[in-house]
Amino acid sequence: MEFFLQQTVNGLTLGSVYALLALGYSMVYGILKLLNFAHGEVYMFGAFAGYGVLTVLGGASAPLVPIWLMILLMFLAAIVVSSTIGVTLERFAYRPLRNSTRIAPLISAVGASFFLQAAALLLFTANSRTYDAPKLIAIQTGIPIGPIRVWMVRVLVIVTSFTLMILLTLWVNRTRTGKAVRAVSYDREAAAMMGIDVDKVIVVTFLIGSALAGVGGVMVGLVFGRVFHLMGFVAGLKAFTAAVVGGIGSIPGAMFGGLLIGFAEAYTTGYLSSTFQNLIVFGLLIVVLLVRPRGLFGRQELVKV
Amino acid sequence: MSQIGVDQWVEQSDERRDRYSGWTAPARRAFDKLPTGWKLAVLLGAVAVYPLLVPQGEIRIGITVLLLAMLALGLNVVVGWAGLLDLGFVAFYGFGAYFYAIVASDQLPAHWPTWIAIPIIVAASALLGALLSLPSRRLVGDYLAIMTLFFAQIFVELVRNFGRLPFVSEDLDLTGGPNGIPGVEAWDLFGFQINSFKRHYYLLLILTVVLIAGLHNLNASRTGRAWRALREDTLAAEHMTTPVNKLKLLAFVVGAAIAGLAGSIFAAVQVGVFPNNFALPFLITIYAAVILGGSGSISGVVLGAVAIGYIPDA
Repeated sequence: MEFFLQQTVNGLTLGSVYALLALGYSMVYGILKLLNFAHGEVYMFGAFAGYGVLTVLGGASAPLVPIWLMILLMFLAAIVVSSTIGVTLERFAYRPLRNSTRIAPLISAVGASFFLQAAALLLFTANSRTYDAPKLIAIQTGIPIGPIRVWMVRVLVIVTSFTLMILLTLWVNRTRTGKAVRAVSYDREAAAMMGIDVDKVIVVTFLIGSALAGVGGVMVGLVFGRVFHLMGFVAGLKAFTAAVVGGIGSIPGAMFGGLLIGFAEAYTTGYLSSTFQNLIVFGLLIVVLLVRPRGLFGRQELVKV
Repeated sequence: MSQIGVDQWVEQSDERRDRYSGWTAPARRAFDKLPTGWKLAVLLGAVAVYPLLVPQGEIRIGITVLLLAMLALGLNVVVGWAGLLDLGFVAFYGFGAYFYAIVASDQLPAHWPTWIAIPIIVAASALLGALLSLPSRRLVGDYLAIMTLFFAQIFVELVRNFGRLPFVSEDLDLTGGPNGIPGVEAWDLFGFQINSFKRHYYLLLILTVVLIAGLHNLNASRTGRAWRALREDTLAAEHMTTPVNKLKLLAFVVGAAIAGLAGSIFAAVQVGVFPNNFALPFLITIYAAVILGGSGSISGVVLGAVAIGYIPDA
């Protein structure tokens, strides 16, 4: 029972980070029908931004500012860096290709991903860095749940990501811009004819999706410590799986898919073997797609000849 | 522009003759006058004498280019003609390479004769392609791309961790894990060893030419037209009673067989196979060749392969 609870908390932590990342994939896909392969790299830069703030402000062992402020600043820096990169990508890598063939922006996304990876390699070298979060927030602190104690950092991650997801849902469903986002994702041309500034909506989508990825990057840094230039690839792939399993383009789908992948990974690692977590996760994706070709929450599109 | 009664083409013939200047002009003018078949023969001749004139290292680049050309031709069938976005293509290449490496090294140890191994590998790759085509009956567009992408990922993961699979004994480490399989033997065609760069180059050149001829005819055939109909509008093609599923299957099978064959040569050229040879970056390289050259055009994708394969090494 204790082990099961522990794995559940692990799954929840991982899952909420994947969900944040998956939201970025899903929102962008919903609007542009583009698989933004560079999203994982945006997340990686967010993690590095958090690390930069942490280092500048004295590092985890001797922080110059209160811990809550430190963490807040780390998140803010990650949001700024990631959303800047996201919006720049949209402007220079995707917008010029918007009316091109379907595959051109896809390749451009892959190219952007390689470019950002190489840039990170040059800027930060190949060494992996560590946040040393246990020194920042002692690992003993935490909330007891039954027989286990949940580390404060994990609580922070889970609470923050759920808060963000709720805020995002409210934003999409209740605000004017959110309505515009839904309209553009439903039918871009019709939305444009109704006077919606499609370019602006797309920029906002990239901004929010990338900001969420940046937050996710700092979270992963806090929980798992290691930050390195290739971290975006696997995380991006997982988050992408999550978005697809949930039904790409659907916001609740991305959240649910993220949690599902997180749990699948945690239980596989706990009960089977960590070697095969990727195999199981990818296998899960294929099975879900075979049974429900549009993902769990995806809607069937009308096809016309 | 032109007067009535004067053919524009005839009128401009002087201009066209003077188009080339400089010392290469006579040669280029002569080349223009050749019939198409002769032009191809000249090009082929140039490609065929290439390894005789350049050092070993350059031939290796030529081999890379020809392998990439074969792969681009195979991918072109699936993506360029049938319009199926197959991101798992590199897995067939890997499958062919690993299959050959396993049956032609001390790994098993089995030393199958090449003339038996190659047909089996090509058939097995085609079968795997047929299997992967099954989901394409239900999945369309990006979802097919995603599913095939994960097929490729699973292939690499499997190859990397085969020895640690729960139902496989430790001793039967077929794929050698992350270390790959070293010491793959050269092709041996009835006693003739394909064991030097030059021989590999010519083997690949012959296969590529045969492939181009075959694909050219296939593209002009009824099947080729049906594929294009499929690519332009699957739904419309289906309404015209085109056997959509059969054509998708055939496209995957042809692509996979070509990739498997290329893989088995690659394993022999490299004298070994490693999981990272078949990871995502190489898939992108093949796609880059196809897209740069112009997906759907045979000469285009070959040129694309030349550009993509040659430039990084030159």
